[in-house]
Amino acid sequence: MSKFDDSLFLERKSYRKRRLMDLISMLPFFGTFLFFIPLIWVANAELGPRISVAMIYLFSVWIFLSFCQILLINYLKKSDRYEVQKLNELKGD
Amino acid sequence: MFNVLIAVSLFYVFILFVVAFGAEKLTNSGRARWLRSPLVYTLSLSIYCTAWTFYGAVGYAARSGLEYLTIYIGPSLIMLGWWWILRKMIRVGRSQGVTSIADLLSSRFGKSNSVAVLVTIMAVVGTTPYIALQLQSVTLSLSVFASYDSQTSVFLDNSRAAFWLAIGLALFTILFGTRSLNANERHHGVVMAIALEAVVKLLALIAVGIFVVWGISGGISNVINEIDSSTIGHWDVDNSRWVALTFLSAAAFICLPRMFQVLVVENEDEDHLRTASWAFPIYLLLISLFVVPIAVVGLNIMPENSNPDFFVLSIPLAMGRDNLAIFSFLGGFSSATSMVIVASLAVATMVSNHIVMPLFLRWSSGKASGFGDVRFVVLTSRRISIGVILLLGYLYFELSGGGAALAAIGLVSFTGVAQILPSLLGGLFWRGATRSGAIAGLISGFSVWIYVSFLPSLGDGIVFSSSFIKEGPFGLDWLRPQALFGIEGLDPLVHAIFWSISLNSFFFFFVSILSFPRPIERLQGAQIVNVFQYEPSPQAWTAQKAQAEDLMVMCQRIMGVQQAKNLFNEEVIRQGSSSDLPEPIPDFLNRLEKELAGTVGTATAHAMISQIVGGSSISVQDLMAVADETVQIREYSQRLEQQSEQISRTARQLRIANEQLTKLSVQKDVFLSQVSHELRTPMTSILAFSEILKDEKKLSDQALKKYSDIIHAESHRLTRLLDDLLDLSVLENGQVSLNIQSVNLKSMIDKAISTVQAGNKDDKLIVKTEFSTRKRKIETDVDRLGQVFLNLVTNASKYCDAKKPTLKILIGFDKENYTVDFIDNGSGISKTDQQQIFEKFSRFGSQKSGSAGLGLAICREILKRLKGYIYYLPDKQGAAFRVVVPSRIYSE
Repeated sequence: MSKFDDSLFLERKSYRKRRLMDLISMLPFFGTFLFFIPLIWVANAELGPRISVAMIYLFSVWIFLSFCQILLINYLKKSDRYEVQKLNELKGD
Repeated sequence: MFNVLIAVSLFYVFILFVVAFGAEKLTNSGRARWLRSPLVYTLSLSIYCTAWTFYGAVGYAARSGLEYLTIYIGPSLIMLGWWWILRKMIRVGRSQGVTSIADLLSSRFGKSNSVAVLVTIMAVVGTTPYIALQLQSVTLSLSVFASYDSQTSVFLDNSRAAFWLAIGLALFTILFGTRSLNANERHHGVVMAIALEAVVKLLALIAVGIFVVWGISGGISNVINEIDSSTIGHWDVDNSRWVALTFLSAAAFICLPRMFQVLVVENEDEDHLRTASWAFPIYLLLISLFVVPIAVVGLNIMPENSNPDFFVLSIPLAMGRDNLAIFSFLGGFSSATSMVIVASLAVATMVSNHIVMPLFLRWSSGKASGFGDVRFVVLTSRRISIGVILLLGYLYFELSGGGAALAAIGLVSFTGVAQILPSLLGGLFWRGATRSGAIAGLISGFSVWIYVSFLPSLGDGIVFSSSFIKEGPFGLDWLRPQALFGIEGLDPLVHAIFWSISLNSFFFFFVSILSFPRPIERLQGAQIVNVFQYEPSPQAWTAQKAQAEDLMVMCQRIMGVQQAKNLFNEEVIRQGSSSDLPEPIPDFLNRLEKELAGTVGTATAHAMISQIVGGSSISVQDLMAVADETVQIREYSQRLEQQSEQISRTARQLRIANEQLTKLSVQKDVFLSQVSHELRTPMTSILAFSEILKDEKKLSDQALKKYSDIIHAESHRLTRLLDDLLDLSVLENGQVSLNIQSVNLKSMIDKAISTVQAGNKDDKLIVKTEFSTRKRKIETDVDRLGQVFLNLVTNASKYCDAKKPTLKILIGFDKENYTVDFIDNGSGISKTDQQQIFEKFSRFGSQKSGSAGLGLAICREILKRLKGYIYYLPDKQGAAFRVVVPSRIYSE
């Protein structure tokens, strides 16, 4: 692989990491939005949505957000590890 | 059964003690890596779920449906948003050596103790009722058990039970929370115990949930039907409460002193937060999953008048599942105790660091010698504070009568603690926040909270009469506690949150904008807000040498003698100074302040050092840095440039090293081929002549003698060569052990001369020795140095080509070294050869001597071992060598 290709590859990785950080920092706002969806439901002891539906919705949002976080944190770890490895390679040159 | 419950509980408490003790022990012996895993960190966060959430959530759901979820959604969102707030709090906590949330705010606002005192008071007021609530939940759950016990009529004295519980908790907290003064304030025993309790309470709630869903209702679909047809079967949550409570729980999650303790102070590794960011929301999800089913089934099967707050206990008891009920009791017990332990520990740290210690410092005479044993004072004040806080909690429980009024205190207390939020977030993210702003915000928010929420929550007639609440003070209806400024119809809690937080933020913001911060505030502000960008470089202390001793004395009293000594010794080594106390340079004083802050808090540490050193100075550069960020950015880019320069320098050095290695490898190859060549030449002649001796039958005696002489001479040469090689390799590998003796230098040289002359009868060399010093004695390896002299004299005798060969030996002395010059009157060595004479197998001039050319190389190696050196003296008339050798050699 030529030197040029190598540096292009690195740029791409660090670009991806930036976007990953964007995603991680946006997740709580996204979560707030989803958790505040019930604000547009009709709140009424007889006419409101059935409570089992509400529960299923809220818990699904919860699980969804947690799993997103697991995935994002894993990617973050991977890209951190990649950076450390790259740094070590540079040192070893 | 009641007795069984007591026995099981006592056994459980015993196990907690053992776990805490074991964890401390393991940590002290340094084998406790796994004790500090991300999992333990996550579990320790669960002290957020107190007995109020363990029992109360079911009651809450039974009364108001899904609204209880807000209490868990807020913290989940904060954890999911770890990147924003928690990560920064932990980093700041680490870099500033923060011990509590009061300490963090004090550190941010110019190490101001008044801010710390305010936050501490708020924490005490907010925490005491909460501790009372925990005591109440445990005693009430005991009485639920007692009421189901048919065999023995147990008379349960609630206040006695609460009293003994408080005593036990104080004991545990003092034992494991104030074992020693930890520089980093981490309590492994406590954390391990609450992690265990976290598992117990989660499993207990899930076990009851599973029993309710599958054991009573008969499956998920049945439960869903039951839920939908119950009184809470439809979504009926007030929008304002949904938003306000989510906000409130999120705020409390980061502001509660006990949460700060586990989130920031006990945090071992920033990376643990990453795991907790998804694991803790899942924990909260699991703990809230079965709340609604338990509430609905409870409402259906339990008698009308039973308290829904204790369905978790009473359902299993009513169904005759005593073991499950005991397990569930342990869950509630765990929730209560873990909260009380950490909360009292955190608040006691604040009280002792920000109230007791500053008072103590003021009372004890100002200077270092007046401090007394501060370590003991800190520990004692912390122990007493723990006791006092638990006592306050118990008294509150007694006075409030343990009724329903107490149950309402949970959210009220959250609102009080949330008053810290504007100053905390403002301090973390806004450089413009000032100490005056923080104080104004805290005071206004806190007083509004007291007026609109705390005092009314105590119940009718205790402080506010019902007419006061309805009509306002002195009939001023715009000051009605639950309808400030005439805004009616709001839910009291939403009303309290709205007004307290808004006024708090308003005053914080505008007073910050209008006031002007002191330099130290601006510096701390810049460091904390930009904690991720810059390395900390706090303001500079200036101190005189004489104060180092005072500092040492003070440190010993706070950190303990050994630790202080280690710290100072490290500093001496770092500074490379020769005295036994380090120079009090600004850098060291900053480090010292941080170490002390880990024990007594930022403000106190700052005050103590300034008492000795007499005030900090802020350099012009520091002010420039605060005033103008570009300076900092320029510094940063300069540092980057330096780094890249350093890297290229290292690369260059590596390249040079590589070239040298290549050259060495070539030299080695050359050396090997030379050695084999040198060995081969005598070998060839030995072989040839010995073959002649073997094959030729008729040899004259003369020829016979000549041939065997040649063989003998060549074997000699071979042996000498091998000896030299061996000698050289031993010297080069540094395996020589020196045999050091003290002798007269002159006699050594004379001995060398006479040896050469005795060995060669027809030698015409004339040797003259001259001393330009009176010193004669030398301590060195006599044999080795003698070998060098012998070699140099031999060389002169062999190679000096003058008609009347003369060798002059001049001995001089310079400071510690002898210089011995060997100068002959021959034609010397040509310029080009001079550079190589000390290399192996270098021979010049005639080859008659048959030497292998190792002599000078050996001389050089020997002198290297003797800490001296040898070199060729150019520009003398003949060959001239100078030997420099120390008069005393110190063996290593």
